[in-house]
Amino acid sequence: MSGVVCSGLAKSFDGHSVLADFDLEAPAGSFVSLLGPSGCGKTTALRLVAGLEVPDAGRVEVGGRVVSDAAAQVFVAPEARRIGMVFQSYAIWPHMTVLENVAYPLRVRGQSRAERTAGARAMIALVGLEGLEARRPAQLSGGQQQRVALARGLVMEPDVLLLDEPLSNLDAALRVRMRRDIRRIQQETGSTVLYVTHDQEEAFAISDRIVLLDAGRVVAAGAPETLRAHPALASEGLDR
Amino acid sequence: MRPRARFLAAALAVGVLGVWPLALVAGRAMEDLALFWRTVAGPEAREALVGTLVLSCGATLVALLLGAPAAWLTTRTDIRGRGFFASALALPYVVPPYIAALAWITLADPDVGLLNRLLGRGAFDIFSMGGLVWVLGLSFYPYVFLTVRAALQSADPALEDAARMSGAGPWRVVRDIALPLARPALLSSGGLVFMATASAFGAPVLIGNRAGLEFLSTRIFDVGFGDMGSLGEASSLACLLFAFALVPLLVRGRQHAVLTGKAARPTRVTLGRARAPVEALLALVVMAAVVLPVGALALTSFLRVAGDLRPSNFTLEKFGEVLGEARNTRALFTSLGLAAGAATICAGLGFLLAWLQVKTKLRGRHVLAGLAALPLATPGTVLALGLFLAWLAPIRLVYTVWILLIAYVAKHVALAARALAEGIGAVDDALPEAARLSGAKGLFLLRTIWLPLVLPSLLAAWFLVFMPSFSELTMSVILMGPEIETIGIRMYRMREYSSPTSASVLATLVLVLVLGGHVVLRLLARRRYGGQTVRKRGAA
Repeated sequence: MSGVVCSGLAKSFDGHSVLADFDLEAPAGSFVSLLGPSGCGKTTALRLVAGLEVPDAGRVEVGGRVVSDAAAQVFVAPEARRIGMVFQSYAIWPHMTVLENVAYPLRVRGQSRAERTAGARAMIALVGLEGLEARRPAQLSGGQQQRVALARGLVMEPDVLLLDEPLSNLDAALRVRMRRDIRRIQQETGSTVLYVTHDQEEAFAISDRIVLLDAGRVVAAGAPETLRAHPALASEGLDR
Repeated sequence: MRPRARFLAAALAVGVLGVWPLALVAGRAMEDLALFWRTVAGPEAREALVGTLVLSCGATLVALLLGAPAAWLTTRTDIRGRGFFASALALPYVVPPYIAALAWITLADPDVGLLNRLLGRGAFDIFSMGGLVWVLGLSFYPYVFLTVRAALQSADPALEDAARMSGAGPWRVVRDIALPLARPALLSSGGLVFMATASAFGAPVLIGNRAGLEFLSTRIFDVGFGDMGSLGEASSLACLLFAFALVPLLVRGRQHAVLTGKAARPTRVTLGRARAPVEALLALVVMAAVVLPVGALALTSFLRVAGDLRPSNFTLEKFGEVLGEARNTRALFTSLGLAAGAATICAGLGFLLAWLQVKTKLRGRHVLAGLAALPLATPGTVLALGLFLAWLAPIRLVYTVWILLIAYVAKHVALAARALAEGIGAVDDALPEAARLSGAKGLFLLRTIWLPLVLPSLLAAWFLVFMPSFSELTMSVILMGPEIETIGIRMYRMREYSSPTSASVLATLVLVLVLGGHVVLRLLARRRYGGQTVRKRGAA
């Protein structure tokens, strides 16, 4: 497992800039949050790291490998990046069982049925879903779907795990429990995590490092304790 | 009690229009069971059944192979001109299949077809099973295209992104995720194409007759209304076709519960070097499905001698000639009048049906809606046979314009009801309630509150019925005698007896009218979404 480095990333849609001059450093094994109001470009930054969007400018390095560099015309397809991702809507495939969902990244990699079943089962146990392997997604609660998505993102032991507002669809009590679990699992697996959220409390509770974004630009970055008094946090914009 | 009385009135109308005639067909077929079995198991029926089966499977295959990839390409890849392709590829949806058949005969008649003149005689022969499969496949693929497109557009793009992040390449994502998710859409639209092809009458007659091909729909016509007409035999075959056309309804894919998903910008697959060839292929489909047939009809209408493309051969004389003939203008006005009448009646009856279904809790309202939609799903030949049996005696309306008015209303009322159910459903209950508290009731309430609020849907319903009624062929040919003609009947007879150019002129006129109606519908749809005051807060 190793880190993520972004430098000078920029992206615009239809001539409208959504992200500019984006720099980020996430050392291996760290938990870094991108915090900002909706529309600030944090999800776009995540999707640029994932390779789901092509940057207009800048470089992305994952695990010491350059996966995209606009200047050098390098662009590694998302499926070749060894990055796990948890989507805001979880994106659990409704036509597969829990086990099939979690085992899918291993199936794509050509592992035998026995191998991938074992790998998926271990990951399902890690997120606390033993016994639900044969369920269909429609029979799961929101929190359980969240856990399936997490297991699927981690099962192939990615260089980095991206989480896009993973808790925004859960109720308040569950959010607190889930974020503790996410943190525990991150520490147990030693994963590097990029975590997108608009919830200050969440970001401060969970992160090693926070990057504050507003209107497509980085406003500040640092450890939670150094940022607590930052003026941008008091403003209307970052408070949801 | 008022809603109950309205329910009974609607039920009576639906019963008389559609249910009763279809019951008569079944009754007639079962009257003489020996005849029924002899007919259904006979060699002619078997030949017709095999013909219909081959044709329907073939056209369904063509429609799936064209429609599904086109839907994926226009929603999920970085091809240029996505908006253009999305509109152009949906266009054949509004062209009646028998007009497409006329156009393709003009293009690919083995002797005088335009394509055969360009590429050498005998390059294409439209008068064959393959030709008919081609024409109907091209006519019906928009069902698949539009349904699969809608399914892909409503699917959470993150489902496919998640597969990419799991390590699957673009093709693997199509196979493992997009295709399974689109399965219900593929099955239902494929079933619809199958039904529509099995029910088709005009194109199979125009093309099949010269190729010596027999189908159930054409056989019902020959057996029931030919020189040695036997309504019992025709009814037996009609039962067979009815059952055949309904088979796809039983084949339903398992619906996946749609999970929450934020509508987001889908990640587009970069086609890279394949992009230009793929765009060219799509352009070729537009060419084959829209440009060639429409162009052929237009060209023929403006040509003095069929097939000669020199400038000196272009003329407007044909239009003058065709419109100068009293029979043609009479047919044109008959069709316009009948279609306008049917559209108006359907808008009214459809409003009642939709209101009953959406705004009341009466028991049986869903059954009523289903029965009202039955004639739409019934092949035109079968429905026409039923109406013939129903209105032969004691009240004789057969061979008068009134039977066609009944036929058009029966067949298309479900189209109006569906459009209106959407419009009425979007009206917040509080709006009419507030009017009632202000003292409004009955017709006054209808006129001052309901009609203004649902006007765009009402107009849409009107056009949705007007267009297919105006160009209707199957039931018109079966139910009318030689004296009164509609525009569809005129075209059919012109093609049968000698005057393909005049048929092209009429077809061009019909196309212009139908396309105009389509444009109006598009504009209405836009307006409907603008009517925000009508919608419930939070329902948007």
